[in-house]
Amino acid sequence: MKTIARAFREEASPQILLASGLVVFPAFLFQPALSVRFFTALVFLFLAAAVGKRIRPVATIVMSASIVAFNLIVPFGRVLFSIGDFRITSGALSGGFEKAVTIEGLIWLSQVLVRPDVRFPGVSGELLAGTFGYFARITEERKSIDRKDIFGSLDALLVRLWDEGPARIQETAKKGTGPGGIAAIAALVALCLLPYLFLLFGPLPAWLVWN
Amino acid sequence: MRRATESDASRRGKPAADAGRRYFNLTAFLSAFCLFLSTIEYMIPKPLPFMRLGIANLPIILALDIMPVPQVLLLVLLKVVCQSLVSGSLFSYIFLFSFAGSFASGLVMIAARKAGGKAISFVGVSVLGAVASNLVQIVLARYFIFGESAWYIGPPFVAVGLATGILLGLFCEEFARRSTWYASMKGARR
Repeated sequence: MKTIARAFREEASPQILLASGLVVFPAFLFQPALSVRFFTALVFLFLAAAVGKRIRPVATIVMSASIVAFNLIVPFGRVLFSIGDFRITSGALSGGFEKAVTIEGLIWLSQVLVRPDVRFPGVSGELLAGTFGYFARITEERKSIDRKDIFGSLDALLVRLWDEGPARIQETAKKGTGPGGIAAIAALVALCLLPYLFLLFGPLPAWLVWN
Repeated sequence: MRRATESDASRRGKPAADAGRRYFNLTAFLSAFCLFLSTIEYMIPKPLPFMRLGIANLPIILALDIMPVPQVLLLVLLKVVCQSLVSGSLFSYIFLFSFAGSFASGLVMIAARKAGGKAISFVGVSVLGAVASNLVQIVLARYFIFGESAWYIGPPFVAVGLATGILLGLFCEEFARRSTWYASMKGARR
């Protein structure tokens, strides 16, 4: 876990991680085999946990269950079983499951590849740096917001911070992507692209056909 | 003669450059404020994970009277991008929903403020923005998440949007009335 975290956090530049997302994102989103998409999402979950992102199991389960439940309202495909008058159909069930897997998978993927310390060149980069500079100051001063005098204390905070300007964000050392980072990114890209090659050579084994 | 012309041009250009720099800083300042409010919203427990209260829109509503329209739209874009960078949701549907909802809300609020002027209060502007955001998100949910069942969550979703829109608008009205910072920003624009 620590090796993976180091590879993604210390040996890969945030810009390269973001760029790799542009390849991985569509490859995952348009993966036709639900089983492959499900296992890929599990890898994203593992990686998100490895890089230290907080995984919220209850929120994930509630979100996924609600997506599947809402899909079941409109019946589609073969009737699997009934609960009273409510019919559970195969098409609606697999469709809901596919959407839930995709949505959760994309959230975990984003958590791995998108970092707040990503820097852009030019005016847009200056604007983002200014925003994060002010954000750092507001966060430092948040305790000065008094719940009993929310308007007065918030106004005083805005006056003070506006007069003083944004905090200078500590520039992270501009280092390139190391071998560990390259290996981690290459493995992730391969994980999402290789299944397409296998699908070119023939159908999936029966145990991997879920939809 | 030539020197005098350059000097005049620079004198004429300086206030415009200062105003541009001021709006640039103000956009960064208000988007940081949006980001701060969205982290507060993140900490408030909600019955459903995808439910939003919209308190991060407060700076956008305030910006309607102190910034030109292009800067307000830039603020909306910056809010969405910074939120997605901090939460790491740039490559997820959350970004799409946030982007579409925020821009729908922003455009409707700008149009309402421009068309209605002082006849429409911050409460009206906020409610219209919240409803626009919710409607766009329901349509997206229809195509990307829930299918036809999305129409069932429409009424409660819009009702929550109405309630939070009213509360946010009332907060904005009171803040705009009392705030010295806001008064100075309005004064500087005139």
